[in-house]
Amino acid sequence: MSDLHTEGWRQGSIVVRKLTASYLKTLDGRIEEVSTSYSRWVVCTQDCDLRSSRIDSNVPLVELRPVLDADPPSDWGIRSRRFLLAEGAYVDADAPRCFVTPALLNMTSPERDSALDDARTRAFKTWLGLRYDRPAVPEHLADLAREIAKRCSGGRGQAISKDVHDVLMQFEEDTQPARVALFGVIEDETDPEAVRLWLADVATRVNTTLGVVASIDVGTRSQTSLELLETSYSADLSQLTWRSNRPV
Amino acid sequence: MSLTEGFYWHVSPSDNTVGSTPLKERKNVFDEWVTTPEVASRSPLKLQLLTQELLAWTKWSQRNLAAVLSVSHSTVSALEQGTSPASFAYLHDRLVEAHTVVRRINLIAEQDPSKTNDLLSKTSAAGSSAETLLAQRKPADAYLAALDALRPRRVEPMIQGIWPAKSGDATQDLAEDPV
Repeated sequence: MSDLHTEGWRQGSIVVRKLTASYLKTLDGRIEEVSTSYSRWVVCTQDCDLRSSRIDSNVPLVELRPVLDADPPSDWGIRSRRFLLAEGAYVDADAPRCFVTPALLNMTSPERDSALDDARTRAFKTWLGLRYDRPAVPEHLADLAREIAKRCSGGRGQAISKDVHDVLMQFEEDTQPARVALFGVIEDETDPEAVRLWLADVATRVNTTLGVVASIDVGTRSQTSLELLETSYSADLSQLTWRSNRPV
Repeated sequence: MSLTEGFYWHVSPSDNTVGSTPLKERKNVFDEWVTTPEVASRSPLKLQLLTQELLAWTKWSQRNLAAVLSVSHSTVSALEQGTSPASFAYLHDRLVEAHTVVRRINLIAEQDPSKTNDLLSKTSAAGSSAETLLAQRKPADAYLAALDALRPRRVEPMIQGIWPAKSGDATQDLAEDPV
């Protein structure tokens, strides 16, 4: 039996078919179902799951998000609530979603629209990753964390980030300005001194009205404990280095 | 806040030199309706300010600062007085470089000049002090040397957290564009 991937379905495939998304709300203490119909949808399910979905399956495994066209955003919005799939067509993180079975999706094959190009597909995957696995920091430290992430991502950071798995941050909040400890998590073959020096260079460019880097340490993944991961915030180098904010 | 805060300089990590192009920084002058670009000043006044702040933050003597800048002590004296030395552009870049590092170390040292001085003068395990590395025009190395003086390098195999995050804080999406 074939699977959805073999049949040409991919994350980012567009379906032209009127389908309905529903959610529940309360009204005067009663639970009510609200349904909205949309005529275009984009497949959000990952390619590996499409590969493992037989086309006769009747389990609701495939996630679709409606493709909207009213008042589209003016930039690509990879880190925004609304993401532009193509000129005039976008998805909104807050729009209701719909789950369908592989059998139903495959039935709509004749209505499958031309797929997104490779660049937009990669961008869409990144956007979905940000929606489902968003790095977050306490609200009062968000500006400082963004500043560090921005400094890590710009300039030399784009080149060195290939060798750096992640940059973790811990904050000392009782000082003015706040202090930051940076931890670079590197691949085994990466030179730790080069990464320390790079992080020190990042530190010299962090706006001191927001905070100051007071400690820098670098280690491999095997030198990084689960405790450190659980008690640190990620600058999420891999995702924040993605730069494509404007339609081209 | 330092009077010179707002001037940001790109430091090239490849050779640790400081370029002369200020990043695009804007300052609101009249509420929201007039925005003017920050003017990068190389005036004697700015050099004087940088010099005075460096001396105040560190309690360095003019000779100490002269060694960091690789100039004569009379040049530092001229800078402190606000007179224009001959090697203007060269000194400007060196002062900004030193100021960038020392400003941060001073904040880490809770703005205590003695503590700042200690962190900058202590020889690190790598064999150099921050002062020496600033004199060699290696600001990122200097910053690391001062941090190593504050907190010696880890000898344990595992990275140790310093300020573990507390649970329960409301968090904000780091990746989201600010509204």
